[in-house]
Formats: sequence, structure tokens, C-alpha cells
Amino acid sequence: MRIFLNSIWYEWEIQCSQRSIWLLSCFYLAIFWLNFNIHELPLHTVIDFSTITAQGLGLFGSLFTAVISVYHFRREVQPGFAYFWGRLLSSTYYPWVKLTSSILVQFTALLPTLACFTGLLWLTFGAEATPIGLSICLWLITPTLIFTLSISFLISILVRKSIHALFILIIVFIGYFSLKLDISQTLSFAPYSIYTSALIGFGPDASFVFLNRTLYLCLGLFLCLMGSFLANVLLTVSYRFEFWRLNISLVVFTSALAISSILMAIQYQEISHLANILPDPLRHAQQKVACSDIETYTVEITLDATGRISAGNAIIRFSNQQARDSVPLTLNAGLKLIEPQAIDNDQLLSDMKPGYSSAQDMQIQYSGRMIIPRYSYSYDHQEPAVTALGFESGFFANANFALILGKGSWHPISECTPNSILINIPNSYPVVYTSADRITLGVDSVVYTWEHSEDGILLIAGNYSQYTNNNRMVLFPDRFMSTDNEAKLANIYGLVLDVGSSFLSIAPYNHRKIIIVPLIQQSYWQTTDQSIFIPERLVFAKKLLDTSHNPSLVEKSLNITTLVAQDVLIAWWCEDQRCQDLYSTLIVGSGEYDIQDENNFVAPLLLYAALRLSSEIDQNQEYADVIQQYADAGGDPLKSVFLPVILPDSSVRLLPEIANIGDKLCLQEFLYLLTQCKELSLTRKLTLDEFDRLAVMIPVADDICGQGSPQ
Amino acid sequence: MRPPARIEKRSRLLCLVTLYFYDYKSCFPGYFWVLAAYLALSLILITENSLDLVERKIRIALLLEVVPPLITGFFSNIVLLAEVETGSLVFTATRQGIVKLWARRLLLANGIYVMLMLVQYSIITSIYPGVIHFSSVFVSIPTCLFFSCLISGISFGFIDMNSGYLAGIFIWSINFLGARAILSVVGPRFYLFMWWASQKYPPPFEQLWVSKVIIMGFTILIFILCCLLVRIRSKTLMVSS
Repeated sequence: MRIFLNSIWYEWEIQCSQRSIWLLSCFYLAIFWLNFNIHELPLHTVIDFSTITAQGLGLFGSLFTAVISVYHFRREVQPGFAYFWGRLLSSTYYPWVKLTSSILVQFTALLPTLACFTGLLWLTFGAEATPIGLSICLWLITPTLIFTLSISFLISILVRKSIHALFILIIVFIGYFSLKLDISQTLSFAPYSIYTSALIGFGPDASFVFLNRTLYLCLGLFLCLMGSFLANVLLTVSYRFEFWRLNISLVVFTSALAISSILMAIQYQEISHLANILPDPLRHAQQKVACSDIETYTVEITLDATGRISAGNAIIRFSNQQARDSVPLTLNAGLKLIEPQAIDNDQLLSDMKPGYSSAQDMQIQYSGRMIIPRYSYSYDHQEPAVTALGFESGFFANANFALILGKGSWHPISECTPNSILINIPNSYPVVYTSADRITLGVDSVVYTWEHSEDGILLIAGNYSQYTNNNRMVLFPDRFMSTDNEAKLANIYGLVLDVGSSFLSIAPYNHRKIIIVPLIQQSYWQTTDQSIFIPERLVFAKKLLDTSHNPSLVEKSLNITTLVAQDVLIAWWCEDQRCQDLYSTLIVGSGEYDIQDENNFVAPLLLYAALRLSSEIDQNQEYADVIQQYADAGGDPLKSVFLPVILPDSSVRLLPEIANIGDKLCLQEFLYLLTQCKELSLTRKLTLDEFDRLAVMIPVADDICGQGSPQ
Repeated sequence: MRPPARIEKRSRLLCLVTLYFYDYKSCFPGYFWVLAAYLALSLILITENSLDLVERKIRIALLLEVVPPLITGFFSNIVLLAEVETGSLVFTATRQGIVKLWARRLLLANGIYVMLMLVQYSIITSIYPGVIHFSSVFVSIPTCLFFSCLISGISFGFIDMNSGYLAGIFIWSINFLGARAILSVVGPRFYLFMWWASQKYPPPFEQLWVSKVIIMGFTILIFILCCLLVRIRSKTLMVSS
């Protein structure tokens, strides 16, 4: 054993003395610093920063490792090492010495990078966050490096010429990178596109991350063992018999690793398949139509302490039998129907199934763990019809966190709001928000009951840090962003809500809440209690940064107050509806081609309203300049590219027209007009003529301007 | 009696061809087969049925401009240092200056690659007429030469082949995997894979040849530096061998 350890030590010394290892260390450091923008660090969470670092190092590091390790693995195989191969230790332990010392060398090369990473974690997030961040980073990167080293070792053993082995490795890794890999793909040996949250960790991706990392760790070790066996067969070995006698236990271990890898890969494939099934927007559209045929819809669910739905029961009464037989169900793929159910594989009621009854009531019982589909929280570009479904599952729960929305595939007819909902959850969940009508405390659980249709967010439970700011309850995750940025964000949202709600026909409410919510992509404004739910991944968070000292960060777009005003106005306009096209166009800045026809007028209208609202809050905001830019662009596609918010050409032309009408009104009059427009938009498509007609019809200015909320 | 000039010229040419042939045989183990395998692989990937025209153009640009510099660069790295490692450089150096030797072999590696490109171009145009222009054959030459000189230069600097490989893969990967970021930092003129980028992202295509001229300029600079480095390090190289 001492000789073995000494061999590892000497091999480590030999490798570390190579100039290439020092260069590797410098490149790791370079990749680390190039991988993130230090000015944006205050906007990152610990898990986010650790994941970004691990992704960068894993992506580039695997290529570096593949290139550099071939030479080290093949050093003693070149001519001139005959004496070396005559030793017993060489033949038996050569592969293990090489692999162990190569792994140690990789981490030695990573040391300066890890030191910088730890230092930054300490400085930015504090001492408590440092071990968490470091462990996440190491957990993500270690299987990647071991897998890369083991595959390099295997190829170095099989291919006799270094340069050929090098090319095979390069082709293998480039082949990997050219595939569209994310964490839900089994081939993803380095972790990409992982959802991260300060509240729910990896959230729905947690199972993928765990399985993926364990799978690649097992595969890495398995390939190491395969390499070591092949080394003893293919390399010059004197004591082959000794090897097999000594390593019989390794054969058992290898078999166990191979079997566990296969089983894990099968499980991975199953979950991945379920999470990547694309929705059928037609079924959702059919459901929306069928909602009017539902007389009563009652849903009751019981959650266990891990967030699993242990019992679900939906009772639906249709007004006619035809609707009952034709409405498709959209129950989540992770939820299983409790037999016997008269529902076929297409989730349609079937008279061919046992348990079919012609009664108008339909009862569906189910249970299971929800599998949140990736399209519902992914920020990748998707089909507009899919994007329009928003956070389709409407539910996420693990042991520490629960989020339940009124609409979602946690109940069978996800597009229709139940008339009555009962949610039974264990006491262990720290509920921070609920819109329930009645709360009944039990011994181990609490029952939340809604006796009316509730569309928005029903319940949130999680470890939030709460504080009060000007009569507003602010609920942010721990270390969501730096304290000053958090305060700035809460303050701007509070101000916009104060000004906006005074004039948007919303009853005043003194204890409104500002809550950060993971997974959702669009803000919700619960008008009953005036709480606003902001997505945790706020796309315009960069705007919070103080750019006065960093002119390079200044972007030619709207300021933070206008963006918040847009966000709030979209949430108010859409209520529980998913206006993803408006959100993508006005906030994300990428949806101008996907915008729905009826929103061609609404988009510039809300942009103008946001500019007016923000100019009321932030006196420095010169909205006239922005309007002038749109007037100058005049629908010219080349000029439109440089506008702060890229709109369809027709909308670009509409904005100055809307401003012409709106500028004649004071803010209060204009927002009153906006409420009229919203009401009208429920029945028909808004046009400029309609807008002009409504503007003429608003009450005399003296009744509204400067006298508070219009009646 | 001197032979007639025509015969002398022919024999010189024959000598040169023989020289290049032996250079190829001794310094490029398996280069031909790697290139042939690459040609076959790239043709399979280009002719994939599921690709539309835009995707196919991106794929062609990737396989003709982005990947080949690694192949030529890595093979160029061994033309001299392989002789250092095997200990035969001293003998070679007695016959010819090692700067000249290195330059000749470097050009040979890239010359063989150009021949492959011509074959690849003719096959692609026969299957998909008009998809790529003839000038695209020469698009990747400056990048290939750049990588060949850069990788060799770093290797000579550190007298370590691995350092060259590592530096090459570093520059290559930040240009390929971090394309968007690098394009926004260095701009299209200094970007190494402009043909591929102009197909994939929308930077102005007009910058392509400007970019290639700039890369060629850098290549010449690195080439001169490499020559100086080899001359300065020639003793060390021979002692190492």
C-alpha cells in the first residue's frame, strides 16, 4: 500500500511539474473569470453562481482534460520503459496510479480557481453560504471530470498513437457539444440548462441533477475499471494471473457499477421522457370551451410531507352529457388514476371502460408525484402556442416549498377554475400566503378551503424572509440578491402599485404583499388583496445595477421603473390569463413575431401607460423622448431594431397615435381610460378608433384630475 | 557535363516530391486516414436528411471552417517536436536548418488539407449545387494556418507539445463554445470563425474577407515569431532530443 501511495505521489509530482499543467491552471482561472460578469454578481444567488461556475468549468474543462490527459496516460507505453514494465507494481497498479494521480492533478490545477470562487462566495454571500456554494460546484463538476478522465484513459489504452487518441477524444467531445444537451438529456455528461432558485434549489430539475451526476459518477468509475482491465490485457504485463487473483473483488464491483448505471439510465430516460412531453394546445383550447358546460367542479387534494399528492379527488358535474364525453382531461403525467376509472389512454371518458356511468357527475380519483414539464419553466424559445400555456402545471411542492395556482394540471380539467377547492397540507409547511376562504387547523395538517372560483395563486409555503416596507409586506427568499438591490426592487414595485392601484379601479388595501415566486415566468397581480407575485427569474433584474460607475453596462432600453410599470400593467391587464406574448414582447424583448393579432394595439397601449406611470414616479424619466423615437422609426424595420422595445411594425406606428390622444389627458384620466379599454377588450378587439371614441367619452377632467381615484 | 536544364528541372521537382513524400511519411502518422475519416464523417453529417437549407449551410460552415483548424493545428504541432521526442532531430538538423524544415512541413500539412477541401467542395457541390461558393474552399486556410502557427509557437515557447495542444484548444473553444460573447467582445473583424458565425448569427457577411485578411496578418506575425523562436531554441531542442 505504501508503494502504491508513493507511486501516486511521484506520478502527481511528475504531472504537476509539466508546464502544461500550469497552463491548464491558468486556463481554468481564465474560464472562471470569463464565465460571469462581476458587476452582476450581486444579482446572483449562491446556487446560481455555483451552477454557472460548474457549467463553465465542466464545458471547457472536459475538453482541456481530454487533450492533456492522453500524453500522461501514454507516457510509460512509449519505447524506453521496458524496465518499468518488468516490475510487479507496474503491471498491477499502473492504471490505478495513473487514474488516481490524474484526478488529483486535475483538482490541483483547479485549486487557484476554487480559491477565487470561494473568496468571491465569501465576500458576496457571506461565510454561511461558502460551504453550500462550494459543495454544489464540486458535486456538479467532479463526475464530469472523472467521466472525462476515464473515457480518455480508455481511449488511450485502445488507441496506440497519442495523436489519434487525441483526435478521437476531440471528435467525441465536439460531438457531445454539438448535440442539444440539457440536464434532462441522458447524454448530458456536463450539467447544462439547470433551473436554479434561492427558494427551491434545483426545483423540478433536482431529480435530474441527482440522477445525472450519480449516473456519470458510476459510469466514470465503471470506465475506470474497464480501462484497468483492458490495460492489463493490452499493455505489456508480466503478472497477469496475479492481477486477476487480486482483483476478483473489483470484477464484482464493476458488475455492480454497470448494473446500477443501466438501471439509473433507464429511470433517467423515463423521467426525462415524461418531463419533455410537449403539450397539446388543442386539448387546452377544447377544455376552455367546455368550461361553460361545467355546472360544478370540486377538487380536493391531500399533500404529504414530501410534496406528493397522496390523494386527489375531482367531482365534475356537466350541464350536458355530450360535453362530459368529449372534454379531454389534462392531468399531469406524474399523477396516476386510481382504478377503476372510465378514462382511456387519451385521457377521454370512455364507455368501453369499466366504471363508466351515464350520470352527469364524473368523479376522478388520482395520486402521485407531479412531474413538472420542462416547457412550463424553461426560458428556451418555444412555439407560441406552448409558451401561451405559461406555468401549465400550476403546482410545485417539495419538502420545504409549495406553490399552488387555481388553474393547472394538478386537477383533471386544468383550464377550468374549480368552484370549490380543498387542500389538506401537513403542518410542516410554512404557509406565507393563501387566498383561502376558510382555514381549519388539524392535529398534523391544515385544511384550506376555497368556496368560490379562484384563478390566481392559491397558496405559497416556503422559507421566506419577511419584512415590512411602507405598509407593504415584502417576502423575498434568503440571499435573493444583495440587500440594496432587494430594497430597490421592493420599493419600485411598491411605488408602482401605490400609484397604479389608486387609479385602476382597485379598492385601496393597506397590507399588500410583494412576493417572489419561483417557476412562474410572468407576474400575477391578485387584485382582491393587491398582492403582486413576481417571478424569481426577473428578466430585467440587471436594470437594478447602479451603472453610474460602469458606463459599459448602460443599455439603450427602458429604465427599471418603466419596466416594473409594464410588468405590473401586464399582470393587471391579463389577470389570471397567460399573456405570454405581451410579456415576451414588452419585458423580455423577444416576442414581436409571436404577438397575437388582438394585442397589436394592446402592446403599444401598455407601453405608453407604463411610460406615463413611471414618469409620475420617476420625474427624470422623459417619456416624450421614447415616444419621439417611435415616431421617427415610423414602422421602418431597420430603425425599429434600435427602439427600446421592439414591436411589430403596425404597433410602432400606433404608439405615437396613442400618445397624441393620451397626452391630452392627465395621468388619472388616462388610467381611467385604460380601465375602460380593458373592459372593452373582454368583448371585442381594441382599435385606435375605439380608443379615440372612449377618450372622448371620459368624464370632465376637473372631476378626475388631481382628485384621487375616479369613480 | 551538366544535364540539360529541362532534365535538371524535372529531377529537382522529383527530388522535392520525394522529399515531401518522406516528410509526410515520417511526420504525419495517419494524417491521411484522419482526414479521410473526417471527410467521410463530415459528408454523412452534411447530407443528413432532416436539415433545411439554413441548417445545412451552418453545418457545412462548421465542418469546413471550425473543426479543420484543430486537425491541421494538432498535426502541425508534431512535425518538429515528434522528432525531439524520438531523438532524431539532431540527425535531421545536420542535413537541413530546422526552421526551414519546420516551415516546409507546416506548409505540407496545410497543403494536404487544401486538397481535402477541394475534394470535399466538389462532392458537396455535386450533391447540393450552389449551396456553397468556390471561394469557401479558401475561407478556412487563414484560420488553419493561424492555429498551426499558434499551437507550434506555444509548444516551442514551452518546449512541451501538450502546452501547444492546450493553448490551441483554449483559443478554439472560447471562439466556438463562447461564440456570442467573443463576437461581442472582439468584433467580427477579429473573430476566427466568421464564415460559420455569419451563417449562424447575423453579423455582417461583408466582414468575412476583412476578417480573414486580418487573421492572415496575425498568422504571418506568429509565423515569423515561431521562426525566431525555433532559431533561438534550436540548441535546447536538440539537447532535449
